[in-house]
Amino acid sequence: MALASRIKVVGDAELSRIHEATVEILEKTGIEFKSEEALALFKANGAEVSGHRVKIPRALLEKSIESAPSSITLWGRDEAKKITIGQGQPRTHVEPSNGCVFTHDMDRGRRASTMADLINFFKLAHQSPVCTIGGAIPVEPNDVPPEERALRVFFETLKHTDKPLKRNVQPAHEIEEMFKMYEVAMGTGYLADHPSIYASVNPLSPLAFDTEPIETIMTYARHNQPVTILSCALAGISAPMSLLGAAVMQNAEILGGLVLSQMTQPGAGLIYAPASAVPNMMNAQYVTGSPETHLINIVNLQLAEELYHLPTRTMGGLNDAKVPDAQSGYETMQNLMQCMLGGAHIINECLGVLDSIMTNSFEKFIMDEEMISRVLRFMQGIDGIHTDLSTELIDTIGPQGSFLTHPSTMKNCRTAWRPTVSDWNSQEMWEKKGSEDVLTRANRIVKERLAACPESTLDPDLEKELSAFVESRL
Amino acid sequence: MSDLQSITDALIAGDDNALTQKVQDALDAGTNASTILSEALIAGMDIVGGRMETGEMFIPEVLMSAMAMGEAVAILKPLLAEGEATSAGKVVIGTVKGDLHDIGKNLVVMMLESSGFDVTDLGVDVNIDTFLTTIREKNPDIIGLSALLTTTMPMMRETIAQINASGLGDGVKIMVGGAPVDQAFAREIGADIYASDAGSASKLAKEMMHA
Ligand code: B1M
Repeated sequence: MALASRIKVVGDAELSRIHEATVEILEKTGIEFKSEEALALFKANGAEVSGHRVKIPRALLEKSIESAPSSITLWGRDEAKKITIGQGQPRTHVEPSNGCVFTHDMDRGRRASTMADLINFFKLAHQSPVCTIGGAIPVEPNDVPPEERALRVFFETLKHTDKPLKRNVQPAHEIEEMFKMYEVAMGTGYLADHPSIYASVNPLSPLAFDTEPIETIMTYARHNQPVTILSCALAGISAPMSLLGAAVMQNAEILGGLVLSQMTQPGAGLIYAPASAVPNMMNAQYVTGSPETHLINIVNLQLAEELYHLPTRTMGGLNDAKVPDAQSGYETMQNLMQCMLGGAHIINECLGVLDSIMTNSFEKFIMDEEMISRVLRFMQGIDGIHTDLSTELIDTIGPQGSFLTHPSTMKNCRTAWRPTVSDWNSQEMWEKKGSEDVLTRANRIVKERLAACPESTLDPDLEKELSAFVESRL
Repeated sequence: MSDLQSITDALIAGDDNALTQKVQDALDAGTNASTILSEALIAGMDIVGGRMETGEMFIPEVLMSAMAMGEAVAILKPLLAEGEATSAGKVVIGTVKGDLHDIGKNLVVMMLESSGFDVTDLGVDVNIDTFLTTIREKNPDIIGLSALLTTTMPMMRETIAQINASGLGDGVKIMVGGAPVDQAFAREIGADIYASDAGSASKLAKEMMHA
């Protein structure tokens, strides 16, 4: 029995008011699309186009929302790892962090990330039981030339995980190349009926889509691969200060992307990803730990889930701490609770991330896994043996008795949630074991996990073939 | 004196209507335009700048003051002697090729404009040729490059190299910034100024002009 309710920020009446305001923005203000191909498609579908500005009529919007699926099956190279995203999924899906410029660990502090760091993050994500999705670029490989990064990173992705994959915006030719490479592993024609990779695409807030994001939406749709449209508008800078105003605007942006994907390929998978933020208005910097931020994004999750019936995603574990300290913990937990209980189907930027997504920490990855596992357990609610009201048992044991030795306790005592890195020892035992703080334990776990991880998830011949594919194209 | 103080107060409050009215009143009362500019307006913007650094004033408030300042200067301009209200300097700025991030760069533009710089903003995803053509055309004192991606930081280096190779870099200062950029990288690629935020960008630009 899942929780009886999730977090709702607004009531049903407010939701339809927000939807109507969005329709007004799309019909009256419109959105800019910097692509002739997209503009032609909009025109052909009855939208009003002038210059790059597209005014999307209600009918086209409604038709597009209708054709977008309410759940998506995403395949892994290991088909046992395939997941359902959206309606009917059993638990929140977790995606590795993305885009961090710096790596942090206890041994070496903060430094520019390298490919070696990236591979270690890939390995942690592959082994992680809470992480159901692979890929992304948890840290930027600054030691690889930019023009080689796309293919080299994708090769390491395939080498180090067989989970379903997440990728970023790329020009169409690079996407085609990557899909070809995936089919080297899975067989020609595999992707057409196996959605396996989704890309995260950003509108350029307010209300615009640039060329490459558009190419990504259209190329993925044509290959039957999903995209996730993620708005990251800053309230007061690239969105209204009003929390509902920001929700309306990012709704218009995400739906604008949805219409484009559905015009390209009706039924293409579309994951709705509200991830706007309330920045630090003192200096206009991006910050992620404000308790106000998810008042915006949960309104959008409500719209997607209750009115549009779409799979959803949001950046769930952000914080502004520079090191894995107490602030990193409480801000992360605040955001995880809000986003997961708000019903997001996928959370990203939640495994290791620090410093407003600039830095990724190995130790924090381990701490985040436990924080996510705590919330996942809470969201499972009361199920299985816990639904037993136990009146008979309470009667049997009676006043002053003990449940500790009863068979029902014996039988179930190992089913209760346990921490993976937090300390539950007594003070005395903790001291006896070396008085380690959580960071030190996490550091040790990282090393153990990396040592135990296989060097490759690929069959050696396939690995050679993929490597040759990459080299032939560089 | 008190009319100058009330001008400064209106400027700090970012109240453009009150400010332009008070400037007009002061002129009508015979106050010298040059005195209003230096003792009420520029002095006021110095206070605003200081309050921004300490966090007493928030960025939107600072920008309101700057916009009000612009309106007041427009009234004074015809009455000032040649050279008194000329721009602080000319800047050509843009986010380098391949990069679409512009929130920070836009903020830098606003702060430079509010310090009296004449700014040509080339927008985002700006290729090297566009920089070169605009530099030729505008003859700026400062060239500003912004990048938010590690994948576009090399484009910053390339842009600077091309500016220098074309001889357009002589006598021009190059300023760089953006979240992943730091002082060491700026030095390495031959930039003259690294600014970590918009406030220091305008401050360093002013210092550079007086250097
Ligand atoms: C000339 O002199 C100067 C002097 C000072 C200068 C200066 C120039 N320029 C800046 N400064 C300085 O002064 C400014 C004001 O004080 C400051 O500017 P800032 O820009 O730092 O600060 C702004 C006021 C507020 N900050 C920001 O606006 C940036 C915030 C973050 C979250 C961010 C945003 C908002 C966006 N993004 Co992007 N984005 C991130 C950013 C993470 C972060 N913590 O910075 C970062 C930079 N993004 C990243 C990524 C991955 C991406 N983003 C992308 C897109 C976007 C949005 C469109 C969603 C949006 C940009 C909207 C816009 N119009 O700019 C994509 C790339 C698009 C492209 N080709 O450029 C995409 C690739 C994501 C994707 N899936 O495709 C990461 C970098 C990865 C890398 N390789 O380096 C990233 C660190 C977040 C992350 N972890 O994923 C100073 O740096």
